[in-house]
Amino acid sequence: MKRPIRDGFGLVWRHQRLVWWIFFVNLVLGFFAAIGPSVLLRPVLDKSLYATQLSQHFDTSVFSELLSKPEVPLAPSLAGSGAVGVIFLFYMVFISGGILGVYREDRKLTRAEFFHSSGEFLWRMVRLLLCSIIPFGIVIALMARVGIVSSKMAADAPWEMQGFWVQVAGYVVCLVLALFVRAWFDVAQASTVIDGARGMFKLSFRTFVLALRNFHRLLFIYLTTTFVCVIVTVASGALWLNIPHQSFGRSWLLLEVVTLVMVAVRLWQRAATVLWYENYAESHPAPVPVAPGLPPWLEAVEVAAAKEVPPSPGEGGGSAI
Amino acid sequence: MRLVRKTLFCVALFGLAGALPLCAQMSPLLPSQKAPLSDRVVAYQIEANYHPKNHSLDAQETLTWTNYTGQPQDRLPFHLYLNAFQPKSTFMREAFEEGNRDVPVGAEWEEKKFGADVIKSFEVVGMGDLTGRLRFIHPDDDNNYDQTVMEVQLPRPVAPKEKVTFKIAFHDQFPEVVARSGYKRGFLLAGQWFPKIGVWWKNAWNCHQYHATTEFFADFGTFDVKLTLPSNFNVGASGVQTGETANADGTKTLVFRAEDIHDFAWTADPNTKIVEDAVTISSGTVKLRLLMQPGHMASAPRYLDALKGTMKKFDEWIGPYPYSQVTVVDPPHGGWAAGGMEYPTFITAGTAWWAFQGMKDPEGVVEHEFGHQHWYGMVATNEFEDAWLDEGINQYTECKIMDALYGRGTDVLNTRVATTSERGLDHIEYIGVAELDPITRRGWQYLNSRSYGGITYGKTALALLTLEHIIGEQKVREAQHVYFERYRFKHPSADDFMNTVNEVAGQNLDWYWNQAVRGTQVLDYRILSAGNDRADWADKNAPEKEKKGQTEYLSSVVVHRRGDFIFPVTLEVKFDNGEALREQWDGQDRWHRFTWRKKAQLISAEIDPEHAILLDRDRFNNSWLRDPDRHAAGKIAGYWMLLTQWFAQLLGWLA
Repeated sequence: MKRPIRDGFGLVWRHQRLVWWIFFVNLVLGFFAAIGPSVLLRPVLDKSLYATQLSQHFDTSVFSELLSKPEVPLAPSLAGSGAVGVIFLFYMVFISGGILGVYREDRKLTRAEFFHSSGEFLWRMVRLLLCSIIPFGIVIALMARVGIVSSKMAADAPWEMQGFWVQVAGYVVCLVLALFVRAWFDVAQASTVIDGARGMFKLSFRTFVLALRNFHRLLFIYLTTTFVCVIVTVASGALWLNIPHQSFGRSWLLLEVVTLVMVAVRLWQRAATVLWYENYAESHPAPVPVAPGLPPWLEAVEVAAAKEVPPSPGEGGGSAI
Repeated sequence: MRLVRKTLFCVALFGLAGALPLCAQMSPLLPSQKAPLSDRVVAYQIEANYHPKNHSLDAQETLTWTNYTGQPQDRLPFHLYLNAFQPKSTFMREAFEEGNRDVPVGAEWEEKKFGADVIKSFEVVGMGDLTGRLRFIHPDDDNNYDQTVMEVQLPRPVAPKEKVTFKIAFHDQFPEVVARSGYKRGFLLAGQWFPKIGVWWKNAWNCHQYHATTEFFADFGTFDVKLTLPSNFNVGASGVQTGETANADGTKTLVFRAEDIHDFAWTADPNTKIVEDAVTISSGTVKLRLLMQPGHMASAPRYLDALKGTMKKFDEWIGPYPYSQVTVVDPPHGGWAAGGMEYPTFITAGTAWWAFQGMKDPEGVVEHEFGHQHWYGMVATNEFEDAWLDEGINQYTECKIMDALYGRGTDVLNTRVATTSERGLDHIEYIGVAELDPITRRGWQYLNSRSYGGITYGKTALALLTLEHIIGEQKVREAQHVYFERYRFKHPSADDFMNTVNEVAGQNLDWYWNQAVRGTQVLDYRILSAGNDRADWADKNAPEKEKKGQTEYLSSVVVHRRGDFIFPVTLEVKFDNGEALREQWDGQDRWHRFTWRKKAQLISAEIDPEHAILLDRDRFNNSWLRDPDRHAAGKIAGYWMLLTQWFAQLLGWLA
């Protein structure tokens, strides 16, 4: 049995090329998104002494003044940044199969193998993404509701901080729910790659039950990894506050390190989930034929899955449930 | 914190020893002041009974008005401000259409926002009951539904210098707090709560309807107010408390006296904690009374420091505060609409449990509202018609005092991440509306509330800061002092202020007033072009390679006046041999070319190198650098890149 958090970190560390590669793409996309604002700002700022109000320190009113200038229409650049975000999302969807393939095999895949794995699972990943929109949407709607309720409480409740604490508690619940949804679909992705599962809607339902039954174990993995990310971010934030405004290069480097850590932590979650799922599959060999008494829909899925997934070398194979 | 604990301890001791006799002896004016300070056109005596359960009160008002108009008067107008909080009022209509501080554009009417000031009976001593002769008038618009001004037709005129006494029974329904009046849970701010007679000004009655953006105007006088309310309420009010009686029904009656003020406001809240302190200024020792929300006690020392600092600066720069007490009300959470408001000797502040030290909002609000004790309280300008004379001048003094107390550039926000200044915020407010309305526009006639705010507050403050560049900071301060001394306890007009400045400056500044105050001209100077050319460009034998200190250059800068505002400007140029020059231009023409022939290259040029022309709408175009400085653009683009990366990461997390 592997320990998902520790061994998952080992997987990420051994295959850190993936981290660097994703970070690089993220960096390049960010760079392209920043070209627009840079082109707009340079004619206004590069030859102006007044711009030192933004470089030597950061005066928010001067920044607002800059944004109010008709020569600096930043709205299109905002749209560009939004587009970059969407591109990155699809990029991540695309390489998900490859990433999980690397973590399943725990070996360096050739470029052809990596992209073959990515391509093989692409549409299933897309379908899982579409399935995840509903629960993520519910979490986002819940967050919005928490915001509305807590704002109203902040104004109307007899105790002034009631709204704040309701907001904190509500957001913590939303965070846990979001982590659960993420874990649920990470398990589904792992199942897809490890078991070669098909029928994503049914798989989503099946992995929901699985994630729910193992809620505490999965949550522990996701909370631990998230906590590491938060610690690094907070520590970096504290460091960042001590960097003088004039030394923007140092600030930028530090914050890029935070970005790198974010990428690594996300892959750590995925690697840990793959390991957890492998452990689970080992300890819960698939009952073939399906034990009587299970619901008919589950029977159908499992039979289908068991038929389609060839056993891996050295493993019993078969689907997880 | 130590100060608050100490003060609370003192308050408790006073309570144990019986503070009431001390209160009873207190005079509303400092002993150094020779009463009366004003004409005392009005004398109000009001007995009010507050019903906290339904946020209403019933009151009997006895108003004695002296006819100082110089002519017989038989039609007298009264304000009934609380009637503004009704769905068809002019206030609500304007707020719905253009928004204001409390009502967003297009806001839905809420029944809890309903307010009313209902006259139950109206008697004129010696003339009988005239309730039937009351009628609502609407001098500013054609809104028949507006009931914020009523007029009474007397059966016989009041002769010049004759006194007339009105006995008015009225009922108030307070709204949930909006526009500086109303309740929030147990808290009540009673502002503009009683029928108030208009002002005879510029040979006519001045009694405007309550508008979405306007404030108030009233005559000086005395106020004797008795408030009856449940005994668990803590109360603060204009003037000073002179008595307290416990009633058998579990209520108490508090007696307040105020002199030489033109409005009376009060607050009641069972939850507030009272913090007291004092400050000594040239006119004497003034008692400071804070009514704090329990969750805001951390802000009490900040309020007090700001208040003391402000009072000392006003005393030093403008003139003395003559009253014996200042009451500061800290509104409860959710009751921000009651915050940031001024009444004579009584102001409302604003803070929150999360107001960290670097955020100077609590200090700024106290500074601003205390400043109104001078600009509105004593120099009682018409806030309907000349809002800039109180809000704008006060905004200017806020800049000066906050700069002095908390540092120029950091007096709004002072953190490691970012800073903000008072004058910076004023500039932001101003640039978006610079050409929309003149400063002298009547309050309700501005294009919208944004223009009202940006021009009345922002542009006026910037215009007076820019005036310092013309006549000097000391002269502006001296002019304010003279204006204050000359017009305190009077109702000066815009011309009175500008003429006073002209007089103190010893020059006619009408060229400036006409553009900055009466006009909508926009001030914007820029460097249109600048550069260096070799002086020997036509000499075929000239060495190809340039030699620093030997090659001669023709350097030039073209300064362009983009706006219509004509203003003399200074241009500072620097050369690569370390030489710096300052050139003057009267700004009359559209552009002007400066040229120099030197064995050095021009490396920078800057219009207004002192950064004193704060009315300049675009300050990014005021300078030119030969060698581009890419730090600012690089920094912003760099952060843009990082934020985009994080946004992408967030979306990528969904994959």
